[in-house]
Amino acid sequence: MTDATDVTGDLAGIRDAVSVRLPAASAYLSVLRTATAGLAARLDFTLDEIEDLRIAVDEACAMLLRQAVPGTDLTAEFELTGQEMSIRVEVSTVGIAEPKRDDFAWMVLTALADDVDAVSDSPDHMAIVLRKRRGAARPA
Amino acid sequence: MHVLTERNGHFAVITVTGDLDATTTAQLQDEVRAARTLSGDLIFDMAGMSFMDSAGIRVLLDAYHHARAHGGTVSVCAPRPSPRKVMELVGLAGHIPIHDTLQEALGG
Repeated sequence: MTDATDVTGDLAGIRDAVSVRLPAASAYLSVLRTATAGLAARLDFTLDEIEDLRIAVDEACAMLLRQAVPGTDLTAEFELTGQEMSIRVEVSTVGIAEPKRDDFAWMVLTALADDVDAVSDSPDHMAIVLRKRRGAARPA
Repeated sequence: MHVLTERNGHFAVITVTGDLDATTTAQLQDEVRAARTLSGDLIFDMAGMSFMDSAGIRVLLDAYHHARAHGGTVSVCAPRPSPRKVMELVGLAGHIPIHDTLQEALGG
């Protein structure tokens, strides 16, 4: 018990920021899923929560890749605070693009993440920001 | 992803192993078309499938609509918790029967 509390205490003080840049191609989706799972494990997310994050990041990236300019990069910025993981994924687009909110990808993404924002305010870029808190679905 | 189709009874059983995502759906779609030449009654055996996202859901839904239009059936067996959760999130579980085992799917 004491050990577990200490570990949580240590992690609460960590602010990790990790950036990943990959070709904007679906062949790299599995790499991002693996990175997501590895980073989520650092925050002591449960296995179910890690799986939710893995799926949510995959869906967000798959949505962006449909609008991405071929030959450009996808960037994923992971920020880990004590209780929460925030992920911003971004691609280059032609003009202002909006993610389709009426399809299965958006349905799955919004069900599995605690917060989802589509950021399409600047031309030629589109981003999705998603957040998940540790233990959010459970009573304290 | 690896995919294999075999006839079992009057069913065509499509066994999916590995990750089903945007990179592998076209391969599965081809396999489904080939499987229909064996039988109009399809079972997706997901025991070895480690990951599925909404791209996989679209393949299952296509198979379901095609089966409904042509008098066939589609069912799923032995999905791991994560693919099962995705199917339930989009409401697919209400249309396509999910069996715990292949044996149960073959008997149903």
